[in-house]
Amino acid sequence: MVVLKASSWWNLRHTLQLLGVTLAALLMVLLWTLVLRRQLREQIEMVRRKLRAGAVLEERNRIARELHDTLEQELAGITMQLDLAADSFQRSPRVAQQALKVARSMTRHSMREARRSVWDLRCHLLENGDLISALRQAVGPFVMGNQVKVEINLEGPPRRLTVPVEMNLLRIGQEAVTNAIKHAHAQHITLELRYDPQIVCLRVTDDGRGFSEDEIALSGNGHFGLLDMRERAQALGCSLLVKSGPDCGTRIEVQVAAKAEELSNGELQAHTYSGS
Amino acid sequence: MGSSKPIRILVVDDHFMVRMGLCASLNVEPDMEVVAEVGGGESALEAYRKHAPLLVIMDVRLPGMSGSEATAAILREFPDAQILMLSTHSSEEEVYRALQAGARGYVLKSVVREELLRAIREVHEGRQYLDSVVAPLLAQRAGHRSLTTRELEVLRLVAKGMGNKEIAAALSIAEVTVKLHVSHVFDKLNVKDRTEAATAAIQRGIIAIE
Repeated sequence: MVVLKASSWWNLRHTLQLLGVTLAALLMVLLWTLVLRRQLREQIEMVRRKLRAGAVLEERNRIARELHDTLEQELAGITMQLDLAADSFQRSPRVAQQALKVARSMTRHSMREARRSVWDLRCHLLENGDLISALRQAVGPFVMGNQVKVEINLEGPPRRLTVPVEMNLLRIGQEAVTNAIKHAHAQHITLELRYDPQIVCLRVTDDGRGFSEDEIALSGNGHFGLLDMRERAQALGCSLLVKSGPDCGTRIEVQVAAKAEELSNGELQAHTYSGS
Repeated sequence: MGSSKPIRILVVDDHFMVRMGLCASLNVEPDMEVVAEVGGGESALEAYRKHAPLLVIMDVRLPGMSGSEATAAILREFPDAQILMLSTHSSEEEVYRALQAGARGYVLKSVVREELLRAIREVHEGRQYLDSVVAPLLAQRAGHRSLTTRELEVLRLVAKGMGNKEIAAALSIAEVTVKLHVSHVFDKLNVKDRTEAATAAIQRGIIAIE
């Protein structure tokens, strides 16, 4: 018997087997992709959660700072005035009255500050705004309803600064414009924000009635705007330049040494142990 | 109140409302006189040189140079300076550092006026004065072990939410070393995890939220 031709390997059985194997391989690859995709989604979710947690942490630190540095201090100052009033009520009513007046002014100031602090929470300046747009937003409400023209100029390429720097510059700008409108009755206000490589400069100029040195010295009914701006400038390690005189308008300027932000989360500062 | 000359006082606090409150409050006392007020640690030393006060009321937390650092700086130059610390909130670490630096007294801003006046007079007469809230904190601090400088650096980064790998990169040290430091820190602070460590560190004033 002679074998004329070996039966082809490609018989139905083999073909089906091969098809089965290929299909199985395909299925496995498909499954693998699905698993990979799920892992990827989980990882993205994790990164997103981390970022959100970071923003929440930063905001929480800001609120803590606001409470410790501002509100608690203000309450301490007010309490001291009230304490003094209570103690001197009998002995010297005039001292008591003066202390109460100062306490009242301080309370008003704190109320305004607290309102602004809440407003900061809402405006999310720290997360998605930049300083210039935050300044625009901050100044906007004061301008509407008043017959005042406010010009806002930006010079140099803007960059993000550390949270405390941006926050304090915003508040100084806000305060300067408020003062110009409320106390100096200005008609025209210019707010300039300039970004130099090493320095950021904020300048607010108005054509209002200005003030003399004597007026800066606080009376019982005085307002604390200028003191507050000074304090903020000092917190930034610089000083507030104020140029004003009766009927010659006011210029308020602050220059902060601020390089581009290095650590966005750098809010925690460690102190070293002084002893042992 | 026996002495005829008033106690010349320098007020150091970064908040104007506190400074105003203190000045108003102290100046009505016949035996006290605020001769200068400044808002920072650096200017405190300058003001001390210029006004030669008898006593300094020093805020603990100041921007830049801290109250304790300013205290140490003043005492280096004027060893007889009498310094009374004044603080809104105090952690054991802050109290410890201030007294280490040489402060003679420590009171909270929440004390009633009478007690503040008493504290000033006590310190002026050469005695130590500690707020009743502050004394137990100091005792607590004595029971804690100090962290090394490196451990402190690591702790600071842990509190920022960094992982071991990131910390290793930031400090240019091996990850194993970081792990070791972290475990020492946990041990010394008596905590179980990173969140607890950060919380404890802030509560005790080892690190501060700026």
